[in-house]
Amino acid sequence: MPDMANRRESESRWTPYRVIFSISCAIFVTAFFLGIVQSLKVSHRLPHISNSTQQDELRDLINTGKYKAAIPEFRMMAVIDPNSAEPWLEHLAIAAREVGDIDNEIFALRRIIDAGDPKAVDCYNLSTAYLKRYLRRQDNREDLKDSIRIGVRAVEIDPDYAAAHVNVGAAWLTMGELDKAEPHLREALRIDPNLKQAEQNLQHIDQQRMKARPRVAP
Amino acid sequence: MSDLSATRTTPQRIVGRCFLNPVTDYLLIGGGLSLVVTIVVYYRDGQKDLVSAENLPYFILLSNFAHFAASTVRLYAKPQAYQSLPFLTMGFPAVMLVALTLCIAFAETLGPHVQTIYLTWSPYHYAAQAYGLAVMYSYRSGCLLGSTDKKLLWWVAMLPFFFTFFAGNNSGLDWIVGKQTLAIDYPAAETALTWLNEALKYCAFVAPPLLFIKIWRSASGPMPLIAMLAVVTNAIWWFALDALDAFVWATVFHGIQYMAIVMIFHVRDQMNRPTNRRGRLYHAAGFYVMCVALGYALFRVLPLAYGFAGFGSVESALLVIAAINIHHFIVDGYIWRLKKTDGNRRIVDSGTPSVETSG
Repeated sequence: MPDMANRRESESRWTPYRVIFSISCAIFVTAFFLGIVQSLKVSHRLPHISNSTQQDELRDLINTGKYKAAIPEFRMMAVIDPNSAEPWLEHLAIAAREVGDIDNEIFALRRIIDAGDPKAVDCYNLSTAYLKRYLRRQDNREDLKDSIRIGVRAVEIDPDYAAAHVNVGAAWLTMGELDKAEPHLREALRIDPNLKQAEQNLQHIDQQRMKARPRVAP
Repeated sequence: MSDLSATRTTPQRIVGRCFLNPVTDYLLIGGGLSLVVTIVVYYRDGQKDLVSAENLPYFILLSNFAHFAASTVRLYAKPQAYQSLPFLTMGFPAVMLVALTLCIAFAETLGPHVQTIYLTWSPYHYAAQAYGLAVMYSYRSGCLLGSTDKKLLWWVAMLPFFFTFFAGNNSGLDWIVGKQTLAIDYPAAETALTWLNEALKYCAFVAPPLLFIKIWRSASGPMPLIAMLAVVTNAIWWFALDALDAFVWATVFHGIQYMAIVMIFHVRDQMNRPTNRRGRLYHAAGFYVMCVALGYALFRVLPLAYGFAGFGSVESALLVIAAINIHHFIVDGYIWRLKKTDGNRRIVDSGTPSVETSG
């Protein structure tokens, strides 16, 4: 008899657990069928055993130019799983550049560079993105400083990177630092004499200096 | 000395008391097979992948997914599990479902931390499994480890975990303080860390044989080689391969090791049931089929259900994987604790204290 009483007592102790467990099981079984329905709806087949379907979908979004749909997916991957997202960051940067989403372009390029061993072209692209963001919004001078910092890194990696020199020069020029801008623009012209942007910026520097020169009475 | 050790010769004790036979135990549970594959992967670095991209998902389904599901299948198939672990069996699934849904809903905020917990915990879990197997084989082979030797064995088994904790990207120490912050603010600490990681690499290979000799010279006598093999193979997975290969192959071989041992325990339980009328093969095959089916449902179907509910596919897929891993680590910490009344005590016992197998 005491065994029976003990059993009853322990069973009543477990009743809430049993209810919760039954609900959990029901949710899981329902989720299983909804997952099957979702797979049939999206890819017209049962869920594939590899996750390549998802990666293929992401690749398709880029290849078919659906950049706006691709950006949040790539971004989420980079936020949650930075290690696995590394190969996809370049896609995110390209997609963001294509649709003019500078914030996400900066997000992707910063992650590429922070991962270590950056390429000059990535530094150049990030420097350009910071400069573009400042010119578009003109609300944060930190963007200009970052543009210079990363641009300098690009020319440290590849000293003959004319476009990167132009970026650094342009950023200094925007900050009003003509003396710091000039050597970079001259270096860019030395590397590539046909670089119109460097030439224009140097002309701009000359004009600024002319204006700043004190007028002497005739 | 235990009764068992008194009746066995030294070579027998060094080989150890195996579950199936020495070849199968050493290859699958000890991880000997993984050494062969590690050597091949190491020398094929940069060449064609060992398993083709088309076949890899099947390989992962049959080993990794099945292994993660195995702890759940084992939990519910274990006799008296509902009575002895009511919260884990009946309450914990609900906790996990709610936590997972919250993490997916606030993926940008919670997702990275869940992912990092899983990445930090994995190497610890593998090291704990190696330690558990080493203790289990020692006990059942008659090597009654002293408390100091047991502690030393734990520290030696944990060396790969310490290495990945300090050296890993986006996990461990990098998660807590950030390696870039450390390099900028405390360059001396970063240098010390580099030295520590180098030292851990060497220790992981020097310490096991030294410990083996120490234990042999102690009152307990020699521990079986398979116990050391389990510890050394775990170290080799993490130190000989690059981080990505290590994560893939450590998971695969940890999975094979796990499946082998869990099936042995499951089959013994089922055979001991008074109502049992089936053979070992039936129970083993049934268990494995259940594991593969549940692995498929958890890893491949559950993320799609979250997609159906309107959540993003990337966060659903990534966080379901992280949650399954964390659930596996927690469940594993309980299902291997054998009580006095557990029928499987005979598998590990030779009149010795209780064994903790995994974390």
